[in-house]
Amino acid sequence: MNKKNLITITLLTTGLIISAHSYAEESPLDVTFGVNLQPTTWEGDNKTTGTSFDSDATQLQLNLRIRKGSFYTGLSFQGASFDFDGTAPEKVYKNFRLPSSNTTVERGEFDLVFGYYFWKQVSFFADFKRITNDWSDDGYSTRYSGLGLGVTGWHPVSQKWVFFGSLGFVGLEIETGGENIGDGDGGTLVLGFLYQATNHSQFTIGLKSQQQNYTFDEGSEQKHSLVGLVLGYSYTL
Amino acid sequence: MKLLANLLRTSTNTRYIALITLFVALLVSHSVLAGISIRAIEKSTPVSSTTSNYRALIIGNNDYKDPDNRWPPLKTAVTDAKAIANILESHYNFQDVTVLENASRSEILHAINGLTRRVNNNDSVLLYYAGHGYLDMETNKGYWIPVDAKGNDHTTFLRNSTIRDELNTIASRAKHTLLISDSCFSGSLLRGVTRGPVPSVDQDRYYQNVAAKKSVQIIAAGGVEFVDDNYANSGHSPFTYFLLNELSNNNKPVITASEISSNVEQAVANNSSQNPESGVLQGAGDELGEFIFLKLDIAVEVKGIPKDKVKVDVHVTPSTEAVQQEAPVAAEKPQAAPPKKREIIPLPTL
Repeated sequence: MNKKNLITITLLTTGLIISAHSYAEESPLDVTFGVNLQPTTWEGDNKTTGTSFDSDATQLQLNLRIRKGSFYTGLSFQGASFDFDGTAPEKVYKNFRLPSSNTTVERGEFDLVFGYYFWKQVSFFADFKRITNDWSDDGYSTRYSGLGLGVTGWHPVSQKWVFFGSLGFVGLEIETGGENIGDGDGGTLVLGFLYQATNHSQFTIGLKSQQQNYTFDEGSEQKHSLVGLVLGYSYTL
Repeated sequence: MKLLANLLRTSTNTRYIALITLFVALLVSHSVLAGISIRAIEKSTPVSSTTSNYRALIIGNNDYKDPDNRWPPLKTAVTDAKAIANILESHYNFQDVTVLENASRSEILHAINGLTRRVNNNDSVLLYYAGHGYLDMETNKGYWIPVDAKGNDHTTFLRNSTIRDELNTIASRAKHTLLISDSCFSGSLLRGVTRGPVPSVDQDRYYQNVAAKKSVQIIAAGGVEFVDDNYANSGHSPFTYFLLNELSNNNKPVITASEISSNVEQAVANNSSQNPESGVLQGAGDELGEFIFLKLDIAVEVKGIPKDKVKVDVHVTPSTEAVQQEAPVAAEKPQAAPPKKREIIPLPTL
């Protein structure tokens, strides 16, 4: 984590704690555990060499959300093994890159989220994001990390159903072997419906689209797109 | 203390915001009452949700299409309806407001039915009607007149008994129900049970008690008489004109329907030939509670802080303690309050 991100996260956390404390007498603490299955298609281009890659896998996501009043925070882990038959994303190092094919990439994403509902149904959030891609054939791995900002909202469509969505952008720094090798950016759009089965249980169905572009110091570029269904269940204590 | 010292070293604006936050936190810790909590909050803070919803169905009928021309078009009913809806939404925290303009009989019934389905146990529900009304002198039956009413065909009217039935259904689900009828002969909806004045002492305790008890109230623009359509070219009927006046100029965060109707009745009677009436819907489980209007945007004076930086946040919560203090008048078995609906939206990630 670089210094800038560390400072930002520290400020966000401090703000959350101080502000949540002022609501302590009125706002109940909602703690929610969630699990999602995300059948995902990961496709993209090694733009410099003009090759493309694609793979399908079902990602598992586990998350924890804590809400107090207008504030919320949460953690999310998601990941899956993506098998690439044929071309895979190129392995990029500081000064060169290697082609990759017929391999499996273990993809994992970690998100630390802080949000605030400025209006009853609309919130803005910050997401410290870390993506890890590990190639199974030779142990090559890349880390993408950065801070993103987004907006999320919901609108009830009936007593039980709620439409929700979120949109955000993230800036990412790319590392391999402890060395910074480039940077990138990404946008994410999520749209879905939530079914409030009971006061504690919710089911969700939606679509998630992540678009990421990477520019490497050695001169190449990659485009990644992960699109898939989100099927979820969450339980609020 | 170190944090405070750091705050004092920051810029004026930051210090100002921090001090307001501290002030608000102090107020929150001291102003929570059993049934109603009132607190001052920073102006930019969104009003947090109360444990009940305020819902309204507002009906205004101008464009009557009666081929027999027994029901001529009105001038102000739609304007009245829109103005009432606007003030309820913008000043009184009504979250679910449906406005029906020039509604037919079936549209009115469907809208009431839809409203009934949305109502939860602790909700406060207001039904407002502006349009023609009619009293059959022979049968002593009163009616609302929808825009598709035809001449003397009573089957195209909306009978008071039907309105009372619908209100009864809403009242069986809601905590507080209030019907405001601005039409001729709307007093025929009433059955003579009226309320006493608000006690002048210990108003907080009074509001807590009446907020905790079920209410099913009616305010009617006139008794069994014709009412005016356009008061002093104001664009509003006299009744709605003074109702809007009362709602707009109210400077209390909490006011009851009886307080409002008392003032409106007097103002209308003083300025027109109408005599508004108010009372309760009999047999609908009224426990001498009160429909509570919460005004959230009144100016609050706090020493050292500009008025425009502070506003009021009011919560009405069902108080079991208050209910136990005085047994309900009606013998209706009290319903358990439903669990508060949570707003759990998936954690957004990028």
